[in-house]
Amino acid sequence: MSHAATPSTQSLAVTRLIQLFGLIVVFGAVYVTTRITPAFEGSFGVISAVGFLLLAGMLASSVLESVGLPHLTAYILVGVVAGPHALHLVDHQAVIDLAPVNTLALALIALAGGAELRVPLLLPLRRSLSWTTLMQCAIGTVGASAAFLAASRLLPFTHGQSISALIGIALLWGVLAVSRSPSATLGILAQTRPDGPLSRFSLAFVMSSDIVVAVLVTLTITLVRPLIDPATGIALKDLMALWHEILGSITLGTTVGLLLALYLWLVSGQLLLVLLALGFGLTEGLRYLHFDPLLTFLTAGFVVANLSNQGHKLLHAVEETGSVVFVVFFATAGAHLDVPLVKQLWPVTLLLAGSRVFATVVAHRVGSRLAQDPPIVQRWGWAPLVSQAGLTLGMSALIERAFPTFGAGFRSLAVATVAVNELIGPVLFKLALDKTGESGKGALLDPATRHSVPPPAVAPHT
Amino acid sequence: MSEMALLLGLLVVSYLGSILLSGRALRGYGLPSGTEWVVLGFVIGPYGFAAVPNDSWTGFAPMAAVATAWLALAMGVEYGYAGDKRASLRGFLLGISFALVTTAAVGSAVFAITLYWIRLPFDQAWLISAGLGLCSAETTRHVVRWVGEHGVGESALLSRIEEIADTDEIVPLFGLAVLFASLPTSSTSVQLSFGVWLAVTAALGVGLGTTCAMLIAGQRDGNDSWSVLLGAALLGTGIAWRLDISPLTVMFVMGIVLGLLSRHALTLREMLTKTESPVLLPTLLLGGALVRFEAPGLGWIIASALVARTLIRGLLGYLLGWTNGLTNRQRTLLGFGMSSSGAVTMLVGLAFGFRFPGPVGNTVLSAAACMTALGELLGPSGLRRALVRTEPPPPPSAATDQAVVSP
Repeated sequence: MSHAATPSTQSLAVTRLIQLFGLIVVFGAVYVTTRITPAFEGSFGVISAVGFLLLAGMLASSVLESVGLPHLTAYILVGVVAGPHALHLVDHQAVIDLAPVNTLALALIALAGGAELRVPLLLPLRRSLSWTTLMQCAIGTVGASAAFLAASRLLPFTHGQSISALIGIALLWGVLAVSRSPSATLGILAQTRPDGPLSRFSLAFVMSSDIVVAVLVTLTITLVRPLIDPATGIALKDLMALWHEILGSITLGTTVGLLLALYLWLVSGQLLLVLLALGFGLTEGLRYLHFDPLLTFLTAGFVVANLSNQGHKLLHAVEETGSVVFVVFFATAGAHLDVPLVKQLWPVTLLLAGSRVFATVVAHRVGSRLAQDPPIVQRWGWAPLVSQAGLTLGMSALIERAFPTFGAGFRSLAVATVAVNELIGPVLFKLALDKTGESGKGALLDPATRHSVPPPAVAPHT
Repeated sequence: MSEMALLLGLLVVSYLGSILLSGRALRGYGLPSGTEWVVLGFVIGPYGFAAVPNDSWTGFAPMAAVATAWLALAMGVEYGYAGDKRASLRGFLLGISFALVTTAAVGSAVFAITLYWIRLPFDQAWLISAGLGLCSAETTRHVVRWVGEHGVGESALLSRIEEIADTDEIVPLFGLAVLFASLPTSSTSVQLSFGVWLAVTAALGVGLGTTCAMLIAGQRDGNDSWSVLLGAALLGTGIAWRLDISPLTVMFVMGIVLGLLSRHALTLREMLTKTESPVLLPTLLLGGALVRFEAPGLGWIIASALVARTLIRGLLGYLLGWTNGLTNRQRTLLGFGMSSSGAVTMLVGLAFGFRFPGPVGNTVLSAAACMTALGELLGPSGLRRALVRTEPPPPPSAATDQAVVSP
């Protein structure tokens, strides 16, 4: 046994050393280049930024895997270290220029998320999902809102606000706090290849809660407006617009899903190009129509996975494309992190992030007990709910646009809190999967086993 | 038309490119060098329908720069191979000689015209002539392969021409490195000598190639290899642009090193070959759209480059035909056949367009597009007509016979 293990361990150690060497070379090359071209300007700067984030992110994730750190956290760390606020290997303009990558990544995440929501997976969990969603929305929102109210004296952007306005802002914060990170969940599941009650619950809950949170945020913005600005009332047209957005997104998502399933069935080649066209082109079209891209792509993925037997092809293609896109997406998120702001707001950030985790754990325990979940889910089911990333940042941008008077400060605080959550969340989720022994069981995210409808039996040759 | 519409258009072109490559439905359609895509780009560009605003095209310059670098990487990994076989030393030397002679002849002709006829400043004349010399060095392998697939059976001469076409790109790609290294950089805070910049170009390619080979050796699956390749290609291209050295050469060297050192070289060649067509066609379209006929004396420069290239290629083709026992008519046709150009010509043209925005870049890119179009007119038909029935089909060998009859 030891004879068999030794060469394998040695080979792994050599591989890790080579990867570490590669990481040093990449950092060194970019460090020297940026130092001797300080005045470089122009659109070509983004090319080296993407290459650097991709290569360094991939290498760092492999190197840091040996100390048990999730890949996502490694990508984010690379971004933070190389970003405009630390080593400045990736400048601010490059981070802005990389925005299209975020668009594509979010589309892919939503497509994959929808395709993972298979009815056979959801049905046995419906009781658990209902209770947990209800408790997270109630206890999670109230808990986070209360913590925000308690900390409001420490927040400059709330000074001078009336009590009712403070309650309104706190409610917005509370709703934002119950958003999760589908990308982080999928990333950790893809890395650890788990199977078991915890991973099944995580996948189903995080993906389905996206839809709930997207609706909740829009609804809350409409409802709290009179609290924040007494001159305004609840406009019926806002609710109509919300209804139009949801219905339109689901309708278009269903159409796209059916077309995609047809394409996968009839052609199925060049999926990379199809996904790029969908990610960029359709998102642009959805913005024009004022539909929600997240909901549309989730629906499309759901339709492909549940109304055809092409779901596994779609997931495989998304994984292939995502292997590049997600590294850049998370590394860019890290580079985007305003380190000085986090430094400035760290006491209140820690307070709010801590209270969110506390509220999440309590809400989960209550919901899980009411749903009579298996003990593993009751004990560890909160762990995948800590991560926050692009979705939360997108919603905070929405709130900033809706309430310009305090929006900028609100968003900065959200960015700082998300920074904490996106760093610790994946670590906690991976730890939970390792502790419960679900890591490495491999069936849940294996494309080959993800036929939503069983493949037709092959008749034996006679 | 918005940038998004343009992006979607490019994706459609890329999709068509991948279908052309995959052998479904459209295999065999289209011109051998892909010149129709250059023309299409020109037609929808500012001089044609102006369907896309000027700014939109230039906004896609980084994408085109990455695409050209990726193609150079693919060329590097495949370098020295004529199809599945390694090129012979003779073929290698012939390829380099043809490219060097053509570069020198076209460069000299253009230099004379630009300096003494159009009276451009020396620096501009030198850059334009060097650029057009390098653009003209290629015999495009796509045309040779197309001829092989369209009515011309296998022959020793076709194999030789294939070897020439598969080895001659080293001259323009290394020539770019020499040229870019010899010019003062605008963005660096340190000024290094010509030799040091040249060494930096080579070292960057060798370093990235070696690092990639080591990383790919330990990869578990193809996805990881894609990430490494793409990351290294983008990083190398970006650094090269920042340092004002030749990104195409960096990628080409990286590809050669990767091909030599990686134990997965064969797989890498297959992987990269699959991407060539989907990347090349949108690049040609962008190249055509970026053409600008605005430089002074452009007509004379283009005419001199085309005439000089056709003559020197005609002469070289004639000599090649003569040494291979072709008839006089076939030698002349072979001369025309050797004047085909395509991917490398446009790649060098685009590299000039990005590195020297303004009259120099515009002139070289415009002339490269014209060279590709003329090469398309003369090359494939000339080559095909010269090679049809030059040799009787080889008799079936004893080994083949044995293989057929053995159980």
